[in-house]
Amino acid sequence: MDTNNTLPPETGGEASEGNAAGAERAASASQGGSQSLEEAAAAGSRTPVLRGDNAITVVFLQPGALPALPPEQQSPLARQLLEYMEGGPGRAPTRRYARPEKGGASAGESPETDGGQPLKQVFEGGRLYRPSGEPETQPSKPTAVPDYRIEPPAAAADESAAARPQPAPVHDAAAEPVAAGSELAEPKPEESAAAPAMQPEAAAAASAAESVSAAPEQLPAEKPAPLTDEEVLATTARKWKYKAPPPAAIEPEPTENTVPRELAGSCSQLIGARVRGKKHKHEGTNCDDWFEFAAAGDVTIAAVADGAGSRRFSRIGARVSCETAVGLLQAAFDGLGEDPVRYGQIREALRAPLDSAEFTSTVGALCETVQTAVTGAIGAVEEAFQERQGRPGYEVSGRELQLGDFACTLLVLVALPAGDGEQLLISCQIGDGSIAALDTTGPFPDKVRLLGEADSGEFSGQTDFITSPRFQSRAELQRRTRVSRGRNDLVMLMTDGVADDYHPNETHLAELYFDLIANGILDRKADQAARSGEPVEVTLPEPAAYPWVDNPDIEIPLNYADRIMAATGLAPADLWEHRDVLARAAAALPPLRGESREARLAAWLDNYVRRGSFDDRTLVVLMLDGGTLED
Amino acid sequence: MASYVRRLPVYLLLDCSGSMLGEPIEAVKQGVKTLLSELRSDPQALETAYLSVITFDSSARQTVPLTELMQFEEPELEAGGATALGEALEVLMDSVNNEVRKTTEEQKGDWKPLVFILTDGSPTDVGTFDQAAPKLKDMKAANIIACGAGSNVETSYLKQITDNVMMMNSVSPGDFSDYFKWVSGSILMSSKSLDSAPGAPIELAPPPTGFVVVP
Repeated sequence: MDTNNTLPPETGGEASEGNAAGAERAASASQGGSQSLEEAAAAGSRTPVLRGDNAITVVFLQPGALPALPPEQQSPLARQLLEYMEGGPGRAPTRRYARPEKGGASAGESPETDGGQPLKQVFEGGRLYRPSGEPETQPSKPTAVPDYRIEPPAAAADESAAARPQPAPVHDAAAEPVAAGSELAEPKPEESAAAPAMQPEAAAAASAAESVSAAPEQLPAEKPAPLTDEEVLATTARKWKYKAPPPAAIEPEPTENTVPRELAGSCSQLIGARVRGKKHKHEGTNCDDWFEFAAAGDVTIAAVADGAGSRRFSRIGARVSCETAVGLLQAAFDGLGEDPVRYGQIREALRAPLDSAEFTSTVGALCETVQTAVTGAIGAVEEAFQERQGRPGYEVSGRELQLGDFACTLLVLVALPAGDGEQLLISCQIGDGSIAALDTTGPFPDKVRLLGEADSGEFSGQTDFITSPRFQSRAELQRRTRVSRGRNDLVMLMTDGVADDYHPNETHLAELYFDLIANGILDRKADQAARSGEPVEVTLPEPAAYPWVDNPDIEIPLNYADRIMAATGLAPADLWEHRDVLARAAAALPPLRGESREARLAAWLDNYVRRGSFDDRTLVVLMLDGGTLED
Repeated sequence: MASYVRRLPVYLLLDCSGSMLGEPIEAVKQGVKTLLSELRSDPQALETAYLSVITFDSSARQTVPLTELMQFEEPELEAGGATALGEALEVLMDSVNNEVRKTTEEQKGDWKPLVFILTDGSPTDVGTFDQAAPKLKDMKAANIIACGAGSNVETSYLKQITDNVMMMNSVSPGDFSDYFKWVSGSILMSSKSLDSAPGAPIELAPPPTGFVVVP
């Protein structure tokens, strides 16, 4: 059996050995080589369309390929999984999501700690990320201090840094977090003395940083050339203000500024974080993003969601849909885990040839299960809406609450090992955002595998939400289901706040991977990141530092892969071969106290600056099958 | 690596006909200054808003092409002549087609443009207007708000362009000032409804006191 991923679309090789039906499938598969999904649907074939692309094969399931069959006709596997989700004989129904406390909107309980799995706050000792449950009151003076405070601040965007030697990392080990209410400490003299070589550069850097971020208020009289993004960002850097979200009595069920999480499964590691975007901080509104993940045996499950910005309670929709989708899938696969015979059969079937009946029917059942979980999530959002109807505190500008007030996108992913270092991924995506899979051990992906498509019209911002009636139809969910089997060892799910910064996704999401390495979140060992030959000699640009919105007296230096590529002249394909360059850039950043990956991820999401990018940001990274990072 | 920003294009269509001569056009000039200064204090606008001015009198032209906020210079406005609003709509359609970026595989599209039309009279180029207005409305290429200043405005014309029509109280400098403040508020607020579903009404700031929304 060919588990090598180079299965070109036209091959009928494997199937031609089979029976007539197999040959027929192969024929339609070969026709599907460059068919669009629409053409395939129009062709009316019920068999999966195989499309080979960049050495990883993606199977598109056509609408109608797997109709919602009555229970007696459903595949036994699908039935079994459905039973687990519904609670099955003798099981209690899965608790779907945290219900609001009786007694109205002023409950204000934290969604993270009510019912469901309490989140693991791995970021130790940090004042930056508030403990869950406490909606902030408006601070009169920002007092929060991140544990990655830099002394001294590095220069903001300086492309001509080529000649300068790399600054030594500044270790803030001795510094304690500044007590709330006290003045922020200036760079401690003893620490500056400890790194004397830094002083002249530091002073130069500090003054450069000041001059750049001092933001000239008067505008140039004549400016024939368009402004660079850096110039605009230098002006806006200190204009972004921080306001806490309203208290729960005014805006029920508030969400935190930042949530980092991690999970180690039996064959996967996950990190995820969501952060409140600059726009919401500036306007004093809640974060609308959510994510959840879980492991059930060697099955990994993740979901992200983005509440519609214009809908008042969309954050509740985002939370409920993620919790429900992941909860149902966890129940399904936990249940399956207790049937090792069946589980073994599935594992075998996943290794079968792509167009074999064994593979197709098993994957079909798994897809159905994912779609059922999405349907369940939609139902849970409807219930959440119905439960809050008529409650005090849940009105919207004097009209009645509507389902649309909970509108959100939803991206769901299930990953199972498929033998020989391969992963089977099944996704279902409604709305914008991205799910991307990489083989970090393989060659540079010209086009990154995307498991889903953002629905949008020709203007930005026209996106679909799960509350739209069309998603009551199973066929619509099937259209949004994707399957991939291959060496997918790094999978990323993200909301639009991140996806939009790497556009177009197919060609630019590898750069997101680079940014994660360059900021010490992935591939942290430089020698492990190097893939070929000698490390290249390049001079890295300085990290770019911008003021932290929550407290602009503190600047956060970060690396940017696009700046590194511009400064070193390395193309993306080169950088892929020399990821040690990125790891070296990461080594030049000051360390985070606690320094967990997910804390670093949260800090990076909270602080990377790109013009026009001020939405909430959520990113979940799945490192599968031992994956890419060992420290 | 050059990556396009999603811009918020804003088009101001300003009536510079003869009846605007004197106080009204001065008030408009002042209003544009106010608009700019309010927008420039907002980081979201600074990063994403691009402005253009189209003026119309006996003919129409794009006085200032779509320019980013930090580089935008107020145009010289002079009043005199007729009211070629029809031609202004055609200039608008051309400008939008040429300047506003649509989402493609390679590039991020701009947000749907905002168009603010200010007029104190009725179009004198009725033939052109009668063709241009429905064409513009059908394009659904922009969120258009029309404001009539004074009793010479026949709102039926404006209703052919857009459903969002309001009338100024009077034609005093105070009213123009209120109008432009409202324009800046609407631009800043439009960011909240940037992800509305297609066809959903855009959220606008409530009109200034005394301004009448034409149903």
